Formats: sequence, structure tokens, C-alpha cells
Amino acid sequence: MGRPHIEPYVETDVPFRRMTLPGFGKGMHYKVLSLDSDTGACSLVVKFESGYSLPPGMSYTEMELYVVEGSLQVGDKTFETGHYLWLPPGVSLPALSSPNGARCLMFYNYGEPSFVESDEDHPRAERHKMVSVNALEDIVWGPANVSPSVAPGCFVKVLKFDPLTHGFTFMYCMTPNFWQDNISYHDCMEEGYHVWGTSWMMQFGYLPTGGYFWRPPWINHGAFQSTYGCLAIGRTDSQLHNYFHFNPWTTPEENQERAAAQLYRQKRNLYEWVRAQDGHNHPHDFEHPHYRDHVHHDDHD
Amino acid sequence: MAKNLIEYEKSAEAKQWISDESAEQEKRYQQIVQDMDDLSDERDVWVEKFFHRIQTRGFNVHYDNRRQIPDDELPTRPDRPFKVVF
Repeated sequence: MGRPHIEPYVETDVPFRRMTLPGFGKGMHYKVLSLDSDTGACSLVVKFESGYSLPPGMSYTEMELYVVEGSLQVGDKTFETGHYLWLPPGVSLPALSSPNGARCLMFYNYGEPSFVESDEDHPRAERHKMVSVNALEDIVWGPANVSPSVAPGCFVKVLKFDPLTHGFTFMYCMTPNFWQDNISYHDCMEEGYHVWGTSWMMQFGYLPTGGYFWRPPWINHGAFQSTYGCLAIGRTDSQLHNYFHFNPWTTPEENQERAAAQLYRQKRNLYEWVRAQDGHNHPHDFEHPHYRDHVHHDDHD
Repeated sequence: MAKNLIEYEKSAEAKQWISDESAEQEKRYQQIVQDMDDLSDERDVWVEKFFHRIQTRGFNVHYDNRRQIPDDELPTRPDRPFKVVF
């Protein structure tokens, strides 16, 4: 069934569990934020005890990591607070340790957490795609580059962008006294975790530090407000488009139909071509003839 | 085969882990649904205040573009439960 709508969920008072999956060793603890019950893909809050260590190794699924607190030693590099890593599947990560402990977000996007000890990349690994950056220090805040746009006072740092799907991972912040008086939904999944601060949404109330959501497409959220500001990490699985409106009572089905009506108005030629009744107008990408391979594992089941 | 996953055989431990965590998630989901139901009265007040703001300060159309919504454009509440978690 994939992942359910988890919103809002505040993990701060939830106890950690000891990681027992093979390969991760002792000293790693986790909380599940959301989980795909078919594939095991999941978003976790992870606590590494002081002295935790892991030999060089790889994951079968792509993995994203964000250091919320503390630091990690990865080979000869130190991942301080705010460090973001996107590790494609099969890429061998050097030995990892946490001399003084750390708390991280870890996203295993297409399967359950896996670790295979190896100091070499898997033959299918795409190391050139790896992203490793300190999100707090190495990237500047900018306005959200989408139209229609969020209100002034919401800023974004793009950490990882998929050129095929336009799905992306990003930091976002709201400045103090942020207001956005509309209701939004998207045709993509959206996920968020509050690293610091509190925001408010009309449907779900207040989301404090440690607050989280996994929101499937078409679900209303907003209006939005933040009294003192907030800092968060967000993700989508494809291009994020803001469908704004002011009817709080619409259903996901009604929102979906409205999005299709907008598509008809805004991309009419493409819409008409794709929906042709003769059955021949299947999407085909001459640059990426196997383009579906880049999207979702679920599509291939 | 997806580029974002290297095919592998799930271990028995992994299957059990997914099953256990899925059961825990179902409990969390049900608790969220309950919590959001409990918020209904407060949410109704928030909606009224939202309608007031978009009629006075304005509805955010795009970035700092706002539009004041006239009375006859305000939606009427349908005769069905107001769900926010799906």
C-alpha cells in the first residue's frame, strides 16, 4: 500500500529502538517517521551512540542523510551539523564513525535500510551523482523558484535535484511572523521535518521542532503561519507545483480533477496529445528511452 | 529495474522488520486520525478566521500578489465529514 498519510507526527517524545537489521552493528538507534509497507523504504530519525563505527560499505537503495545534531566522521571528512549526503545505490561509503554521537535523518528511498560491507562500488553504482554538502554553510537561501509561489518570507536551499523527475530535496525556512493565506495541494508527494521551530497549518495545527509529515498527492494543507520562524528539510518525488485555492472542504479526488482542468488550460496541446483515443500517443523520451527506470521502483512491479 | 535500487533478495530479518514496523505505523496513523478528529472544533474557528483574512487582507494568489475574496465566492460547507487525513 505504499506509505500512508502521516501528518502531523512529532517524534521528540517517542523512544528510540535499537537497529537490528543486518550489518549496522551496535550503537545505532532509530525511530520510523514513515515507511512503505511494500518495499521497506522509510524515513528515519537515527541516533548514533558515541563511539559508533561502521566499516566501508554500500546500500542497495539510494540513501539520503542529514546531520541534525553532532557530527560523523566519514573517511577523512567530518560531517558537521547540517551536512547533507545523497548516496546513490551501490556507492561504497568510507568507514563511518561518530566519536561524540550524532542525531541524523536517514531516508532509504526504495527499500529497507541495508548495509553491505565493501570498500568497492557495486558495478552499477553511479558515484558521479553523489551529493555531499553542508546545507547550513555551503548554500545560500533563495526564494522558492516556482509559480505560483509561496508567500514572501519562505526561503529554500536546494540540496538535490533530479533532472528527470524534478523531484528534489531542500531546506526551507519561514521567517518570523510568516503568513500565507491560501490552501495548497500538489500532484507529487511532499515530506517535511522540522529541524527547529514551529509552524502552523489550518488543517493540522502546530508543528514544532521534531514535527514531521509524509503527505501523498492532492491533500489540502494551509493556510500557513509561523510566529518565530522555523527551519526544515523537505522532499518531493517529482516536480512541485502549487495548486492554490481557498476551499478548505475539498477532497483529494476533487483536487485531482481540478489539477487536470488546470493542465487542460495551461498545457492544452500536450494534454490533448496524451489523451488521444487511438492509443498511440505514449510518452517517449528520445534522450531517455527507458525513462521509467529513473522514476519509481514501484512502477516496475 | 530502477536506477535508484540495486536488485537484491530481502532477508527474513528484513521482511520481519518491515512487517513489525508497518504494524507500528498503522497504530501511529490511527492515533493521528483520532488527534485530528479531536481538533475539529478548533479547526472550524481557524477556518472562519481564514475566511475573514482572505476577505480583508487578501488571498495569496502568487508570492506577494493578494486578492480580496468577495462574499459570493466563499465556499459553503458540504454535508459530509471534514476530513484532513487520508
